[in-house]
Amino acid sequence: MSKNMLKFFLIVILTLVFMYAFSTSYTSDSVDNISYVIALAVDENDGDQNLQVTFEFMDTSTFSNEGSSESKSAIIDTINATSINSAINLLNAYIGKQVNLSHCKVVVFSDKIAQKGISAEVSELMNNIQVRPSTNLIICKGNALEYIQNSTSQLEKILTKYYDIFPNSSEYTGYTSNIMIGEFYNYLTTKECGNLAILGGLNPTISPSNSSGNPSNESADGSSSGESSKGSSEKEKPKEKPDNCTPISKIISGNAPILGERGTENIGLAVMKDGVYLGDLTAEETLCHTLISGEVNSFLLTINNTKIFKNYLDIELFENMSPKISVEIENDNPKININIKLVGRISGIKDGINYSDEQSNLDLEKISKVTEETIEKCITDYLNKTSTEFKCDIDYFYNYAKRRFFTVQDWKNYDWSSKYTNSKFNVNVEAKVYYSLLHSD
Amino acid sequence: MEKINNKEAISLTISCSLGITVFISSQIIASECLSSSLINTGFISLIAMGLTLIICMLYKKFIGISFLDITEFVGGKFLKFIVGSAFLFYFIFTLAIVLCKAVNCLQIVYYPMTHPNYTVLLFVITAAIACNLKNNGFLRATFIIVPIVIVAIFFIFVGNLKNFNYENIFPIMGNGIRATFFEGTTNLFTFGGIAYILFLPQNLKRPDKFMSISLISIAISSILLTFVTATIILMFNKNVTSGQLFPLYIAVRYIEFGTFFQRLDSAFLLIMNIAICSFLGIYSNLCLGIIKEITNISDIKPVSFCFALLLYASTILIDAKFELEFMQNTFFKALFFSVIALGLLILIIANLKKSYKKIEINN
Repeated sequence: MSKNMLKFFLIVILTLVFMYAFSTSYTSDSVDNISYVIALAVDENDGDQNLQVTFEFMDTSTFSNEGSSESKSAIIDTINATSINSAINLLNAYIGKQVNLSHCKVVVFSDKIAQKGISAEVSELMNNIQVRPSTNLIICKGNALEYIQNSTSQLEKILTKYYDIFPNSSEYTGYTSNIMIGEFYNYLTTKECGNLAILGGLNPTISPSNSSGNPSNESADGSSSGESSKGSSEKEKPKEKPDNCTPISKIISGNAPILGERGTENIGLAVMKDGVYLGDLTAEETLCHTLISGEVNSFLLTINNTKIFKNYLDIELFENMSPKISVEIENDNPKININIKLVGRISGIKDGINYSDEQSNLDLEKISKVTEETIEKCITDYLNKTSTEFKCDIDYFYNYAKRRFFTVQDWKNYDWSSKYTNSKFNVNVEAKVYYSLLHSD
Repeated sequence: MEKINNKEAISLTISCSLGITVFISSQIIASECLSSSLINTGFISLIAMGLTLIICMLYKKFIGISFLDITEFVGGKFLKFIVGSAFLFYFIFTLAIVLCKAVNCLQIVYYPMTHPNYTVLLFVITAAIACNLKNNGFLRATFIIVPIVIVAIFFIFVGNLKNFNYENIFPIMGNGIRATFFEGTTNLFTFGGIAYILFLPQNLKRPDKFMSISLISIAISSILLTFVTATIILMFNKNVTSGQLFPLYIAVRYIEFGTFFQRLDSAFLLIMNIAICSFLGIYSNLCLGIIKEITNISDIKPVSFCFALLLYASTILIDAKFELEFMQNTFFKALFFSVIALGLLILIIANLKKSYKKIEINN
């Protein structure tokens, strides 16, 4: 046999070997055999199967080449299982396609299950190569299944796109935060601090009966399937208005004074320690957190101080530079210094006022002073709440405290978690407010 | 092997360290030194530069002479065979352990249903083909690949700037002075290029530039190690430093430029796959060169397939029979220090012997 023939046979044999070896992986990962989950909801379930895991899929068959603007329907399946992995396994058998989480945009946990702890579930997800670290993590007040059933926006028809953009409002309102599972897991494995997750809730004007995938619809094998149309056509109109205007200091998801067709709200944050849900941060407290972390770029502050102005003043504030944070150790207790610099413009004055006359009466220095005092008080109250009520560092000040220690052992010996409860906070806000209405009478 | 020019020599030496840095050592440095990893990186980089300088100084009397010929000059053919075999064992072990790590990672990410032995076979065949390419084709390929990998590492660093927590470098001394400076010295094994440098002079077109080539290569390797370690330390807590995936890959998964540029991990893994092929080609060629020198085989090319089989067997043996963590953390380090010490010892003795002979001749 010639040398060339030998080479030819060798190449053919090797090609066949590799075709055999890699075809199984190719087949399992082929787009035709995969169903992509876009949202995952985890609820508590009574009985041996302690988790109720809900998977939301996009019906890709409804997409058109022209990029139709029609509302796409979502497919929701619910499985009762002992863990997320076993739920995925069972669902694989049920739907006949392999479930893939690489396009999963949000993971929602109900508050009930979060109160018992979600460390195991989050670790399970983070150890799944398909789950992206940028997946948003939501703790939902109420049922997580209902949350994803009602998660939609009339302004964004494509659900995946909606999930992509909904936390962006944190940058210009500060009422929520773009918290991702990768970041959450990073802090979960750190003993010195607490965790934060996006707080979600159902809009009280949407009655639970509107939800089409009610857990009661489940079949005997613990799974249910059905198409849940997210369009407005199948959804009943909101039945009643919120009672009255809740002050911003008390607004959280589920009690916001909002009347609309969107079934869910994402306002406020859920506070957790070691993966266990401790309580909520209101919209105002969340704003304080995002101000300290430097996440918020601009926000609106309404000042109602009759000493400087007889009516409401709306001031739009912008972060002038990143917050400066330092931690000192005084008498073995932390003293945390926070310096925030803001610039702002008066963006609205309550109606019935002659703006041009009023402009001359506005004392901008006084307004700046009141703005500073208002924000300082707000942040100090918020920080005191974290140290006394939650007893955990959710603003990650421990990062700055570590500077004071030489080795990791010294740092561990200091025991930041317990010392944080004795922290003193020194908040200094500098705000320069300008009068800048676009039009005046 | 054909004579190589300065730039090719630099890219080859960098590539030798790069595979170890990305897949193995950065993870070990981050887990052992914690927040003082960057100090440790700087420290071992200085030691590596010093070691390289010493090797270059010791080579001054043997410009363009092969390391194994120097060994023969010191202790005859028997010592040449022993030293050659020791280095051969080290290079094969390096190849096997890097390949093991890369294949395990690939299996988790892309080929969950494929037995890793098939993936190892694919890489080993690539190495064998690389050794048989005419006109040192793999050298030219390496010359192109190394800059791409360097850019990719720099891109990962820049792309993750927004995810960095700069306070992660505190407490400044991490696990303590002992862990950072004394035990941390063992992390020198990341500079696999130092062992490669010993075998470089005889392949250079301009052996007189040996010192500058070596120092530049180690300096660039140090910078790359700093970037890789900084990316890991500034991004993660200790939770990723003990995982099965190499941390740089996990870091790539965090890079997003809005909703436009996402999921760059696939591109990175593709680049790293090509880099591994180049890494395998360099080390395999070097091993074949050593085999040729210690056995006096005139045509080494047919041996390349036997070598590929040996490499395949070593890799699947390490993967199946040994605990990868122990092999990386303990055995690999010990092996590196043994061969470097052996190399230095032979060069020192050779220098002394040459000086003694010169004095004898003068007298």
